[in-house]
Amino acid sequence: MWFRPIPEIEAGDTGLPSGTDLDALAEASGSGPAVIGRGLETQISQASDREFIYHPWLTTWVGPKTTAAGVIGCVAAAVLTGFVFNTGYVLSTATGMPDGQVKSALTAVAEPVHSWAQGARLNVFSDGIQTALGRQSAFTDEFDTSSVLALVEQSQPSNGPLGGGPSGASIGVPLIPVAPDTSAPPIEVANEPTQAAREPALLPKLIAPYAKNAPPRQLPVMSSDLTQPSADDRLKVLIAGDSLSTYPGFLMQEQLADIDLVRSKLIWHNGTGLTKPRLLDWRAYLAEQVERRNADVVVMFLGANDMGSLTKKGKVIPPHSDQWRGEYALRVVAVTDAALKAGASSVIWVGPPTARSKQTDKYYRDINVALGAADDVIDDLYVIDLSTGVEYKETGRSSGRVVPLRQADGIHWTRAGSSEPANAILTVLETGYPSLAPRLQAARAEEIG
Amino acid sequence: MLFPTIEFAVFFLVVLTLSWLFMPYPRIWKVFIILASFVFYGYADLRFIALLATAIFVNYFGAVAIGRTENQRARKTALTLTLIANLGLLAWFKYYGFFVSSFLAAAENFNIAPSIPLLQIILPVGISFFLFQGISYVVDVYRREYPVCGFMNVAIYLSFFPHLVAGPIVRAREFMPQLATPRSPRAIPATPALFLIAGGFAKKILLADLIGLDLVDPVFGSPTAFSSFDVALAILGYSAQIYLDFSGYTDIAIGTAMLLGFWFPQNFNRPYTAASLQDFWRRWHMTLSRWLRDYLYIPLGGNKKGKLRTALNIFITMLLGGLWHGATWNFVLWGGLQGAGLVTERSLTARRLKKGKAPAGAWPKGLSILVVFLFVTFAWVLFRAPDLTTAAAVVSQLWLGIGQPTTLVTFSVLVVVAVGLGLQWIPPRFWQSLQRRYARMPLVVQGVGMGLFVVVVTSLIGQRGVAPFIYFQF
Repeated sequence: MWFRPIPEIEAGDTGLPSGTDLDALAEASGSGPAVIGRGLETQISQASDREFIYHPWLTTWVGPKTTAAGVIGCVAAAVLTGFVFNTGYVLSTATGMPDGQVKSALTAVAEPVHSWAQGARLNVFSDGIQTALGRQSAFTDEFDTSSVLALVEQSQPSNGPLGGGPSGASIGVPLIPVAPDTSAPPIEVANEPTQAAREPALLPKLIAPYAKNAPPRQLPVMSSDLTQPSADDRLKVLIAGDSLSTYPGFLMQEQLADIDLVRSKLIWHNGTGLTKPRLLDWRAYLAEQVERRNADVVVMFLGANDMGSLTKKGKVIPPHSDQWRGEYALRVVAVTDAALKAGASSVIWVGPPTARSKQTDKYYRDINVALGAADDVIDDLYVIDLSTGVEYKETGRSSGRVVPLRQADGIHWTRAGSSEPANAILTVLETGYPSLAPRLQAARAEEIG
Repeated sequence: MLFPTIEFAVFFLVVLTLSWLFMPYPRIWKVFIILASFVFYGYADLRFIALLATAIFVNYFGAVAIGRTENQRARKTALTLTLIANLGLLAWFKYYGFFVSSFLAAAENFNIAPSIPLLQIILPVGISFFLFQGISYVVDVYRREYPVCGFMNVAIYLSFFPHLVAGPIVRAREFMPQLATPRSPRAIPATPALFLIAGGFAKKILLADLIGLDLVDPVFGSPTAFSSFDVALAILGYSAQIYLDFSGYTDIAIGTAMLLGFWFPQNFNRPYTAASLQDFWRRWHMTLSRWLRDYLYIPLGGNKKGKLRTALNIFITMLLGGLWHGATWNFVLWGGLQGAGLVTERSLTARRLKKGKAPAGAWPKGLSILVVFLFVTFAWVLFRAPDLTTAAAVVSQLWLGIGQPTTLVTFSVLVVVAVGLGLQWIPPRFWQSLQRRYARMPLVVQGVGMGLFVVVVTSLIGQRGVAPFIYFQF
């Protein structure tokens, strides 16, 4: 039998007089007939106590009541319906989870069901809503980087680690030109004619100069031929990224608010990253935002959520491998290239900072390595590395007081801690926009010691 | 584990099925539901399980120590030690940073630099809720209002997953009796329970998250970057967001508990329709209000020790209620403001009664509701702002931002805020009538309907994801 019947509770069990109508008493108590048993007398004796207030939808329900089997059937029907008519959402959520057994199990179930549902056109309902709202309905973590392979092949690691442009200031100290690192080996360009054949060989070589030995922590120097802002042509700064962009972004907006030649805008999407484009396709989204907002400079904070495998042509690239770092670098190049083609003159990319957790930090180190490699491919990409060779710092001193620099998760900056990335960005901007330098310097937040 | 997620949907379906299968065997069921609750709690961080287990042991043995003796002194000592243990856990995890940074700041003024490490301690989700339940249990045992319960019952009472992370704060004497015998599998009000779950789901991810992301977060992150209109709507929007977020969570909690056969107390009763501040606090987070009343306000003396002492008791209760929400001066001030408001309102009402006038005064009810709503809404600024400087910036931007271009107010945001606030004005009988019509359909069809509703909601939000519930941080 599905459910073993539960014997009716006799009135005597409750300590109430024999023959007492339990259901009537329970109803009178406002607790509903489900509350039965030895505790009933306590309930009933306190029925007048106003602390026992239940939701009126439940206590005044006069419609049909259901058996447990019915409830289970109903909930199962709801879950199944929510799944098979929206498999893309389920699959994308599953693949976006951190690597682990739950992700593996859910993905293993969701993938075949998704294929079947697509064949049966069951996703037409959810896809229709997505399309009506102007969103892409595809749920995939594939990221086509073929368009930027040529860029990678043409590039030379001219400046060594983190030296996309002429490198300069250590964070928090005056700008010091740094000589190019000629020790980095040149990238060997694969000669195979097909993209599929040359890509695997290219990726490890792309990141090879950056994968070993922490490079010195330097701030990049922007190109010197950027158009300087004027009253008629203000500098438009678009700050974008994941949740890590919020506090530094807010701070930057305040810092730049008083500079009449600069306009800034912050857009962020929590939980997004380059390992999961189905959450948000940053390449398309950023290009659209740059074009719509006519942005000159893009400041990107992205990577902190990218703690998982990458999907490439149906295959999984495990993290902490050269292939992973190379593929990640290609994606950074692709996003940057899209922003530049949409009209931005430069992209400043802030990598995730040193994290408290060593496990998390291992991912962040990889991402900063990939950013360094991407930096070498595109001249107008400027990478700010706040992780490599930098110790995690929980607190600092501001105006003589000890203040927390990171939130409790050991990743996100606090408001005070945001001054580090925000000031670093302003320092980089000074190099590209010398006409604004005095005002950018004045706008800097107090340095946290 | 968050309620509106795929993981929870799968988890709940499995637990619901096994729970009813094991229900006729109370011992097995109790072990099962404790394990399920620990899985639910430890899903995000396994370390939290140790904390929950500690809370269970502390309160179980504390109550046993109180209950095993008739010696009043021994009972009092046991109670005091148990309270110290509960409050000590709370202080360490929730208030360490606040008190240390405040102490260091004060010491700085006297040119003293004590070397106390300022640690950023991860706040375990829901710690205040289950520790408050533990306190209520041992105090009830001490007051002889409830008997000492078995270990398994105490463990379920504190860890039962529907209320574990954000309430409602259930009292032992309304929950424990439900553990005395198996729940009846024959008379579950499934339709209203499903409506509560689906409604809570929509309130949270369709309305609250959108208001937060598109309106409130930008303004409270960088108030000076926005116009007066943006800021005003964000302040109003936060009133809607916090209600939708928190009441959405408790609706899901009450609904899921009901499907498992358990009754939870109501936690929200259309709070923004309140015509007085006192009425508001009887409608907002009702289970916290009664906890504060029974375990703080009344022990302080309640209203039995004269007018001045009553006013002081109200003020202290609200001040500590504010601090319960979070370890910042914002919450202390917010609580103080609520306390001052309640004391003022009480004094005005008493004065009117003394003169033989109606307690509500000559104001039309609509105006009273509006005044209460505006007071509560402006007080929320302190609640939402990360610090006092930001709170001041938000308020001052209401006039400093006049003339700045409005960027956040869009048609969709206006509609969502209006719907979020307007929901409370829909009479309950409308929803009940809707539920009765829905209940006429076969159960499986009802389930399919709920599933399709979820598909629509998730499709509308796109790939935005689900933000954590606001009250998880408390």
